[in-house]
Amino acid sequence: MKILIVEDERSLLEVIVKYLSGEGYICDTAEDYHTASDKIQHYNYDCIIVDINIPNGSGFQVIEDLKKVNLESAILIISAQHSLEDKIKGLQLGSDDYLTKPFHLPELNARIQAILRRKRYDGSNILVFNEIKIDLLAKRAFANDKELLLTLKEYDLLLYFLSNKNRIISKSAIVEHLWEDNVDQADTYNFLYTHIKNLRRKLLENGCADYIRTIYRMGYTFKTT
Amino acid sequence: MKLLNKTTISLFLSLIPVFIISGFILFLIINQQINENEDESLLARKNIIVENLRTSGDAKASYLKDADNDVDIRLAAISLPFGNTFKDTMVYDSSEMELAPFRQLKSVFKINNNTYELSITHSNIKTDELAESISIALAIMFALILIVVVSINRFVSRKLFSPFYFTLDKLRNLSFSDAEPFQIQNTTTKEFQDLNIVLNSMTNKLFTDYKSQKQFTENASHELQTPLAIIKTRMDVLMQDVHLSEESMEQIQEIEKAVNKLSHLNKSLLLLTKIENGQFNDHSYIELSALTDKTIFAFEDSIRNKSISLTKDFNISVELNMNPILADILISNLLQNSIRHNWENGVVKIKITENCFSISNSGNPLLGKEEMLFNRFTKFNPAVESIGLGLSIVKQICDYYNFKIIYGHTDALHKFEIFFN
Repeated sequence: MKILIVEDERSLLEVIVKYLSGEGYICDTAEDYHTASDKIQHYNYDCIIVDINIPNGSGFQVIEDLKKVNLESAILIISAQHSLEDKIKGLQLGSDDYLTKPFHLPELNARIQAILRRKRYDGSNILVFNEIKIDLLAKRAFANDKELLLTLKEYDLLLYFLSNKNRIISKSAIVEHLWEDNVDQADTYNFLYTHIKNLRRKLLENGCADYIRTIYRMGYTFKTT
Repeated sequence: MKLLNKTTISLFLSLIPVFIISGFILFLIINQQINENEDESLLARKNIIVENLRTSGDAKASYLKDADNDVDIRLAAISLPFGNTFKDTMVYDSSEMELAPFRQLKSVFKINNNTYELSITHSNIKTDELAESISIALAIMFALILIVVVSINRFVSRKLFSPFYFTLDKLRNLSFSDAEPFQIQNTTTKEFQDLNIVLNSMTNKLFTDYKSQKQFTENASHELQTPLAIIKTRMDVLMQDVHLSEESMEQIQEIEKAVNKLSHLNKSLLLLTKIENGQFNDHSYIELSALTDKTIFAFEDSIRNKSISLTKDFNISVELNMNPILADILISNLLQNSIRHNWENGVVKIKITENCFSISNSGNPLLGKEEMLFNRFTKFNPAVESIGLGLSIVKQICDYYNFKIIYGHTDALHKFEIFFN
């Protein structure tokens, strides 16, 4: 799976490459419009991650250029602008998702997986992992073909874990994923604890392995090995 | 008091002594003129009497006697000096039945070796009557001038001061969020021209300062996003290190919390600046009840956590033409506020009517001043974890859409009401 990351801030670029490479992607990079446009013409990428504000042009131009040569690539915009206009413009140009800076890497990873899944399976969205099966369209999860009766938050949580298997995910990254900016920090950590406890219990009750581990003081991990 | 009234009043106040003094001078001049005339006619009469006396030699026959006995002629003691003396005297006037001012000529002369003393009096025009007439005339003039000056003032000022009032009106309605710069009507009056020039340069400076200030806040917030993104993502990677000690993990967790708070703060500031800059132009119709239900759903954990009983009183469809992001923030900030400052087992009541959204909640009384409620970084209760921007964002959004937001405290409930136009 090849990914092109277009981002002019080198430190951010490096860390994204590091994390995504660890997830098994082959990462290529571009730090300005010309390089990005050039690479798009010569190589095929399954996904491109593009920043809007880049030197010599804009991320939108990169998307336009990409659409001329390759309609299959998934496109994820990362931008410092939390702007509806940009979001709409990006979607109209054919991007698949929009992530506002600053973000957590597990979030970026989850978003990439989600859009790649959508591109690949073309509608029949079933995600299988060992004994767990998830119907992405119906938003239902099964363990050993028995339905897990999950709440919406538990379902989101499970999917998020499955996208970031064997990674240590900080509590704040999960909180941000589940609640965005909505709820105050102090309380949400308690809510998170409850949701994780319930999800773990439901998985165990339905014969799943004990995947979810607590990492002291920092967060959680979905351990598969 | 209006400038015009002030100038008119001071004009009249200074005119009063002018009129009094000029009236007095007028009186003196006229009085003197009259006396001179009188004296001449008295002398002429005396000359006739003297002539008659010389030809007839009979004092009694030398003049015509009339009712007032105005002529008196007699032989005088020798010692008297010859010559004419005039003086004012008071004599009983039979026609007016009162003492009246008279002009008197006393003359001593010698005819045929007899020395005569002659006295002729003539009724004078009364000085008080003269003064009275002059005063009346002046008063009428004064009144006429008053009427004319006032009406001219009114008429002219409306024309003269119109650029001034125009400028004043412009200043009164001056708003920095307007894109258009301050425009002032042209005028030919030097003073107003100067005023306008000064005001123009002043407001232009204010506008540019304000703009650059806003620009700065926006740029600063934007520029902060990238380093924040780097910190956040680097922390995500750092955490994967299996060799971390528990101590380090704890440090990382604390840094994470601080970074999250910082990025939340930055987002809020950026949001405030963007609302101020009017950068939320894409509007669509938002169904308020549906949005409220969605927001309540997002907060269900918090509501359940505090065992808050939430009452919804809305069954009408209200559509607001708003930016979806702002509508979302408006409702969720208000709901968050009502949960955050609530008691365990407290209540939240939400009511939507055709032109009002109201949310009330139980909770401790305000610890600070009510006027401070919507100010930035106002935190009445330091124990509650918040940055103190929620309500000021609410206020800003309301201002942006010309909604009126009112806080009240009734029946032990805090209540926020938002009235749509």
